[in-house]
Amino acid sequence: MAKTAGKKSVTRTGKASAKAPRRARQSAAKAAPPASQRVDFFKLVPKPRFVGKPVKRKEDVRLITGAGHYVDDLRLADMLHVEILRSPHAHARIVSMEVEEARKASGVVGVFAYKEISSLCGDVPLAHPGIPDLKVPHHPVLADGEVNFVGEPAAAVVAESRYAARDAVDLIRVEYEPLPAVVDPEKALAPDAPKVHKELADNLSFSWEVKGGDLDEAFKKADRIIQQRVRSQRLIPCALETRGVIAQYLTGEEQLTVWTSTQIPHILRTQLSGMLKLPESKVRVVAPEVGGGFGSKLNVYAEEGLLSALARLVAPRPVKWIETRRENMAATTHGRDQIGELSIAACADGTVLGVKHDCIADIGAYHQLFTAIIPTLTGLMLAGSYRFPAARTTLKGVFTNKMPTDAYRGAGRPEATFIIERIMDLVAAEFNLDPVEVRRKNFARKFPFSTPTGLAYDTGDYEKALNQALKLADYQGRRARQAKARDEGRLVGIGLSTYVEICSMGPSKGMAAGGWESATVRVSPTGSVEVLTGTCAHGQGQETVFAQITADVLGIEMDQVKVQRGDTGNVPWGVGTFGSRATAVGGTAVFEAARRVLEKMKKVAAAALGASAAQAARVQIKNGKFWAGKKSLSFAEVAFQAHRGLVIPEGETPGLEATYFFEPGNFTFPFGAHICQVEVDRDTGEVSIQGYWAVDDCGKPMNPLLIDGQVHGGIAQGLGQALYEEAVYDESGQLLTGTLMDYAVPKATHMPWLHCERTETPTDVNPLGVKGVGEAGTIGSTPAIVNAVIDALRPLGIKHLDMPLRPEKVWRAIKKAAAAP
Amino acid sequence: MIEFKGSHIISRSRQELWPILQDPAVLKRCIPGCEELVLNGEHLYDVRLKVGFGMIKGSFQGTVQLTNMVEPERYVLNIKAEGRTGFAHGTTRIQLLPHPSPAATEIRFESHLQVGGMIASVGARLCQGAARMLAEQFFRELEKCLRN
Repeated sequence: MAKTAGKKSVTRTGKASAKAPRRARQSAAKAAPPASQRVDFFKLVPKPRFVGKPVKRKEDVRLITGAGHYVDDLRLADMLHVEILRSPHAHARIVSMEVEEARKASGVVGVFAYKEISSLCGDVPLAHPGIPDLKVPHHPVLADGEVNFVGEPAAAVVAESRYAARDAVDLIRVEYEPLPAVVDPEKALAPDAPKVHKELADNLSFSWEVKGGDLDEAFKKADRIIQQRVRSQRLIPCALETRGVIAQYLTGEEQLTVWTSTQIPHILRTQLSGMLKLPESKVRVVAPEVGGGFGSKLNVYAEEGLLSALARLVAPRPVKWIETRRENMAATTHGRDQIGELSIAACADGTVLGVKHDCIADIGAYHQLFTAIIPTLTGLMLAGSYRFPAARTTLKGVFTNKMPTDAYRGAGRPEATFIIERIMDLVAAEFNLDPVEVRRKNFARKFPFSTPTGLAYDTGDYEKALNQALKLADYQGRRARQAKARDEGRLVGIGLSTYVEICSMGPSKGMAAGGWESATVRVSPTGSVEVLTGTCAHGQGQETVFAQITADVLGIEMDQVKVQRGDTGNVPWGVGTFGSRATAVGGTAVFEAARRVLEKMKKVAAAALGASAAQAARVQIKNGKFWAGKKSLSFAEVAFQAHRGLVIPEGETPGLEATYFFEPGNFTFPFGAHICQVEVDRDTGEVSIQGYWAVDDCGKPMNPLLIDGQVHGGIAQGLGQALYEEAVYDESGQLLTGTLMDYAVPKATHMPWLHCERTETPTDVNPLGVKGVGEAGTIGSTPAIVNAVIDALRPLGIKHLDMPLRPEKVWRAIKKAAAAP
Repeated sequence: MIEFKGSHIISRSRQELWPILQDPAVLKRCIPGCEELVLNGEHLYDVRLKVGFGMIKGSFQGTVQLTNMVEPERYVLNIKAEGRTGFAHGTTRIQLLPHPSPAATEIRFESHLQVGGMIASVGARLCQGAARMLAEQFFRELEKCLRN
């Protein structure tokens, strides 16, 4: 995740407030090699056979046929099973805990609480966001005398079978003394509010601010100031595969191995080493197949530390814990949960002059890895694709007795995009303008574009994407038909969003941890190629894209390339997969490593063929062979020669592999235009989507099939937030949406047919020209759908409704509007 | 939070009902799913019962204490029960009102129960209905008891 504020940047003065983004911008100038020295992919491979083509995913055969191995599919000899006792209270003191009966139960190996674990495993860590005075509470892996949200781990049972462990959990007797719970983040800020953490002064974990431009001037010049309160409700990520951990400690070898469903095996390894006080060299983390993450596995969880500690206690027997769906809903990080008070300075012609955004982020009971950083991204991206000169976000991160929030697909940017795209429609409605024209009026048009929040957008052509989407959707015709439908009394609405987002995370200077990515391309003596990537994969398709890139660079077939990832035992370093970075940052590292292997192979081929200096300088690959003059060697023959060691060229070493660490100079800023048409049923409030059109621009497309997959899935999740999903806690902090019966993720029947197209505006941040597309659909779709629903309700005088726009809420709004004088 | 109230008419006078409603044997028989109910102190009962809240069924153990007793008009049940599937804490106000028909009493009750754990996260939607059903069952059993 992007790191936001430098130490001096918070709330003190406006002058320093956009410090971190400026640093990111400076790094843009420094880290990227000058364009003249850089070899771009499409220069090296002018006619790629694989890149840019709709190649089917290499990983799908095994995943579709059930032959892949997720954590739960791993069965080790003598494996023990762990089940966790979790708090039924939102806030309570643990008066006593009796475990004897559980300990004596059949098959139980041990029962463990805080006092047995605390010396082996430290607190759950966070990536420090650089916000001064950040309040960080004690966050043990098992509750230390107090529980602070429903689902917090309080004790663990280790047993011979999962059944025995589960039954024994029920035999643990805990006496809780319920304490007052804080659920509403606004009430949590009241001076007399109960405190989530008694050791802290209050519930305010942090304050942060980013601002730029002359707000006073903007608000003085405005024809009108529009006020609106917007909410981005709390969501539950609901990855198809829940979390799961296996840990084993081999006492003889002094080696801890942790298999876990994570997006960041390398970061987790570093953090586990700190939690467990074990040298990193003795910790190996493996992410096998990961069945979706959406940011919820971009974390270091209590259970990962706990299982590692338990593995040491029962060594050398491995311990396994597989999260149930109910645990996943309650105790895997949630997303969003921001309340924003907006003030918009606007002119009658639709020009926006400035935006003030006062945000309260309900962060839950603790800090997870990026809890504090996520809502700061909302502030940074507040300008969207528009060039209004002044913006300010003040942010308060507030503790409540709920599961912590953290990254969820889009991570701070969907909230920003929702705000700015609602603003465009609010302005259009206020002055009775076409929302398309308001957007055109405000678009940023010169690149690199500097936002008042301190970011530098690399490249873009927002109007081009918008025009293509308008054409694709037949916007003019659609508006005419809408007018007719309105005359008939039907509630038809058309909404759009012209989003820009921040991807390819990112330059190290703009990140809480390293922003680079590594790759090794290794060719064996028989000519088979391994690509080791520091990124992880949980559905993105890196195995396919990285094989496409490598095969094109080396002039071989894709099935000659095997992509390895997720195991810190064979991939020495990496950062991980999040923030739409895997292809833009990790793919570039693969490209650069492959390019270096190619250069060496050309030299080896020339030496083996006894080529003259002139021929050696012009070695070509044609039809899978290396040609020097009229003589050639096959790819495998060159690989063999490199390892045989008899014709190693001057200045080279034997062997054939290259490792490259790519540090991007900047983030990338993909964009697009989404248009949605809905009809609202006046009698039931139900929203039906009648059409959806999306034009996305993620730079150079590497594989159109994978892009479509990302966009479709992203739109599904964005639609979920717009219409259905909401994590609901009652006033005492009980999670009421604790199952998939109560928490409404969109089903296949809720999905409209998606008409997707692309524009191509390459970035200059990396030699592939690729920007990233993992979150674009989620970011673009939510405001397009909400804008469409509000547009449908406009004849009734409705200007805004908070998400999710479930039938009941829409119906009540219709009834209220009808009753109004 | 489950909140529900209701009333039921029983063909006994308030004076007759008052001791019956505190008789452990009667209560054990009438409370749905009650497996154990013993007096353990002044107006304090230890209770074990097996009930279902929505789809969540489980054993609960706890105490019921009677307070604010004004014979034969009203009292308050203070309920505290915990089990594998969650907990329920709260109060139920009981009022005994004379009924116009001779020797009959209207029992009014008003419950405020805080539920937590799995019964809240899974069964919350169904709790209100389940609670009302349990109350009806209680009075049905009570009538049967009184007939015998």
